[in-house]
Amino acid sequence: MQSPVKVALVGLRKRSIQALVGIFKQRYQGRFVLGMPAAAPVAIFNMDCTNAGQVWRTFRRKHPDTRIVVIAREPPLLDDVDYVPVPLSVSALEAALERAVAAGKPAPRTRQSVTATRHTKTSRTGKRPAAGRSLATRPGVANERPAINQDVYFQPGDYLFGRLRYALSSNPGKAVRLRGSNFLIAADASHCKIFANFPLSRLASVAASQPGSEAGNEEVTVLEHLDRKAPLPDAGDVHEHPLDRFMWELAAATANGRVTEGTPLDAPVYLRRWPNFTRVAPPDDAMRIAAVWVQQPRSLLNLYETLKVPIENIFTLYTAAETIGLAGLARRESDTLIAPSVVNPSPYGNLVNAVLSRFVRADKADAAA
Amino acid sequence: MNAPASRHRRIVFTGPDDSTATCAIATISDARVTRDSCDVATVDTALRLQLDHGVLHLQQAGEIHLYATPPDTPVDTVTEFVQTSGMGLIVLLDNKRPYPLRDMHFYLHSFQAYIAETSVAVGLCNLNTSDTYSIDDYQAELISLGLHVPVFETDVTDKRDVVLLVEALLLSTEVRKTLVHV
Repeated sequence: MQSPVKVALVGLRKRSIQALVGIFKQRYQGRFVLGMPAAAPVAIFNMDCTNAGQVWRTFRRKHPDTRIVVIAREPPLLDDVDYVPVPLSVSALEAALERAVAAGKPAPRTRQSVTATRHTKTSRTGKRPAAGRSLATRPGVANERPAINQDVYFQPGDYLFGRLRYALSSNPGKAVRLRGSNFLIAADASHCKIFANFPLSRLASVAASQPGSEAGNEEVTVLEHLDRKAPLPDAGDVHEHPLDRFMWELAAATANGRVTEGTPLDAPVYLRRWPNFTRVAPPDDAMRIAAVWVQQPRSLLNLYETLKVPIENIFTLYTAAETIGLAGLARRESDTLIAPSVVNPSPYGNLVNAVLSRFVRADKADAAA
Repeated sequence: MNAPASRHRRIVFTGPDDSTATCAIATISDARVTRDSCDVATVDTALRLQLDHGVLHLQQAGEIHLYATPPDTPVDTVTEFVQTSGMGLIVLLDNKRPYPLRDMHFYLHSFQAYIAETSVAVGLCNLNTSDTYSIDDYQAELISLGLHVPVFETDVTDKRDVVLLVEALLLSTEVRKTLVHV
């Protein structure tokens, strides 16, 4: 067995380093290990880091013999360096590291501007190099991107969902009461509670109030203090719900297969953790989507391409999760450093589906009973 | 990592409370839960394990065996028992106990090798009756260990809760075995 090769990681943030060390351990099975620059014959240099030019010059001056694999979103203006585009293909990076080890020669020293990038056709809208391609562009896998039109978006402000969300966010620390023709709601964000004059089973019909008819007609009252013993004056039955659960279900019912206007479909989004699916209703396919999505930020379109589930279910889950703060746009360097993983055939065959469908049948039978 | 043969598929329920794991498998088992003796041959000895046993019948897809470990069961023998056949671990924690996060770490550490081959899901009992820790606290601990796994508030007498835990566990295990970086 070959001895492990020490690799220095330069210009990368802590989480990115952790991600790469995880890849070293799991994927490269210890062939490469993290090393200090002085002791590492090979380095991975992130050319997208802050002050990359200065960092590069300093590193080259201190470690002139270290072989370097450059990673960056765009190819650097350096000749004769091994370059792997970001998001990283794990196998392409491994190959580049092996080449660096085999080459055993100093990387070129150049006076060129190292932060400048070549003008190539590689761009956010152009085709990525093969190393970074997604499942949809793998050989033999058809690109089945759905047709996206304006129907996939909705304006939150046209619905109770958006108006309640706005009322809460613009009055932090205070309670708000919303009265419409067919509902009365008091939301107390500081106690994570919401009171409504209808049960959750009626939420879908309230959420779906047509734009123009109900929206805009609500009376919104900001309360300094909510009397929790009588949160809804004049209401008959008062139903108390955890705020997160109510907002999740309101968001899911309002989204109904759509996302809010402005949601990027092609940019990586994260799922911070599994939603508490025993207390918030999982939309269709939500468990399967969450199991993959929680491992790594991905775009909504990539989730669709990877999982082949109806994209409407992905949109509904994203809208609900984003509403309670579990999902959002991935902005950290580490979120997009590694190319999204792909799904191989399951070793369990149809076992998982058999379990899921068995319980779905049981649920329906229970509901019918 | 081969898929376990159908007659050997096993899910292990564990936790610090003697009856909670057994109650959970009784809630979803198709057959009455029985205490079974299971022979386990380790490298240097043969042991007889006492495990509570239930089963899920899946028609053409075979069946999944559900095992609950009494708290005093030696974990290494359980791990040996399910090593080639396990589909994951469900840890049931009681949020009212003095140190539930410590409990979680104990089981994650004890079943480390098994979890590495499969996956884990965590059920939190008495979450709404105790203000000790929130789901986010448990998730933060798990994520710091590199585990992005399901953590659900769970009433082990509620079939829907236990079923959702099992579903999430199976999907997590499947993802663990099928998701690869290219």
